[in-house]
Amino acid sequence: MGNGLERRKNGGREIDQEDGLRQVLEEMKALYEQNQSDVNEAKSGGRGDLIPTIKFRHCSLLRNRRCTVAYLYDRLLRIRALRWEYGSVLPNALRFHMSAEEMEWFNHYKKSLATYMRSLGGDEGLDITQDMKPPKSLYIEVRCLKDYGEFEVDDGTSVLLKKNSQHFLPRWKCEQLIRQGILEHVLS
Amino acid sequence: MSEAYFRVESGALGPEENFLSLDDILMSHEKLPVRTETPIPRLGTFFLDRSGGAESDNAIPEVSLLARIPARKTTTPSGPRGLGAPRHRARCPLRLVVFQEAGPRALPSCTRRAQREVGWLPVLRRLERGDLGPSCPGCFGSFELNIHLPSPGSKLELPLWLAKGLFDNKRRILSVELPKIYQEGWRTVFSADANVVDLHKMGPHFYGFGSQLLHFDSPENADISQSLLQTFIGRFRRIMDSSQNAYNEDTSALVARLDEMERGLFQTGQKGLNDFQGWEKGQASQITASSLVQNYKKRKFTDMED
Repeated sequence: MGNGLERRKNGGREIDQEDGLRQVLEEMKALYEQNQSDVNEAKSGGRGDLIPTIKFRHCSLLRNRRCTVAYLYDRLLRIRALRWEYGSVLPNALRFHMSAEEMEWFNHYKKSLATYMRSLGGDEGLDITQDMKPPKSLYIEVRCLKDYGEFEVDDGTSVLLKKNSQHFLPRWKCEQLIRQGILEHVLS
Repeated sequence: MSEAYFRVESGALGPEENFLSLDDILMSHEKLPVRTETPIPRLGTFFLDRSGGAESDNAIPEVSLLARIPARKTTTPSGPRGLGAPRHRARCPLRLVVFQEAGPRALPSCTRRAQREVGWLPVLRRLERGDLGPSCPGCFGSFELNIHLPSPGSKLELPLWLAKGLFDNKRRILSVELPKIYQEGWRTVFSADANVVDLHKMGPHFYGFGSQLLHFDSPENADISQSLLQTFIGRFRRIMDSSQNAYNEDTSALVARLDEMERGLFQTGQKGLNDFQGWEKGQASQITASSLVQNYKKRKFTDMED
């Protein structure tokens, strides 16, 4: 777990290391079984000298558990951050890296957040994932960083978001696309 | 700029590490010298033979001697769980090497009986790493090895987590010695001029590790804690100044000799500086792409090797 953790600390979320996890769990099982048997021997066979050994294995088990839990927890923290930084619909590229349980957790979190947001600000609710930076104007200038396609604006008209095209659009519509790296907010 | 990912902070500078902190996990992986006070019998560990059937001495450094014993189990009637001990079960105490990463040539072939040197580091890494993929498929073996830690009084280096776990104040299993940098000699160096020392080289978690060392009730604890504090006080000013004044430049030279905690501090200072500069340029209201997203775009489907 040492090396794996080093990588994770340096950012990014790696492919779900199911294989590595499985091996850790197998190892823990083996250590546990050995300890069980040694504990029995210590108790019934009077082998008190095995106690340091049992303690040793126990420490290893605790360590494995700690590493595993910390790893999984860190992943959840990053997944949670995705809801705020990316949006409620994750691209396939990211979903590929998540386990089914993590996806489920993400959905639960999304729902919790949505329920909470609906409960704010009277009837309409309040989208607190918007306007993360104080807005200066209703409309902003954006430049398209990659081809996106048709994009519908409020009054029914649509804009073609082609790479390098620039547009003057309502801020609330663009915010998510900017965060996703498709548009760039141009300061005048 | 708006970061939604907040990693679990380190607790190492306080009384206890934070269970979930990755920083603390890495820190507690560092080793310290210990002395065994009692034999620890039958330290059999299960693990897979990574080097396969190769008999040569050119094993991967990480692979300990233990793994190179062939997978065939020889059953002996005395095997407690029906698993035989390999024929070269040590009857005489194994001489334990105080850690260097065993290089390829340091691993004697498994048929040699004389002075078997067992590196604990690989074993312990395996215990906690669970990183057991075979290098050549089909060369798997799993077996139990009977190791006996030698007579009390042997010196070993164990990771902090293990030393903490086995330590008690009656010192029944092991007693802990201070690593050099926390001893008198180095403490004097630090008090002379703390700024010149390369704390990154001295074990990158100098402060955290040093703080956790206090758990082992050394008579020098008071001096150690004073030394940690004074060292930090001596170095702090320079870190603060450099982090607040290095804008848009390569800071690798500035952080090279800082330990992990100091680097964290430096990074915080840099963030403050960058945020302020951004604000001055009017970027405070500019919506930016999330850094998480930018990182993923760079990585895409990169399959990281373990």
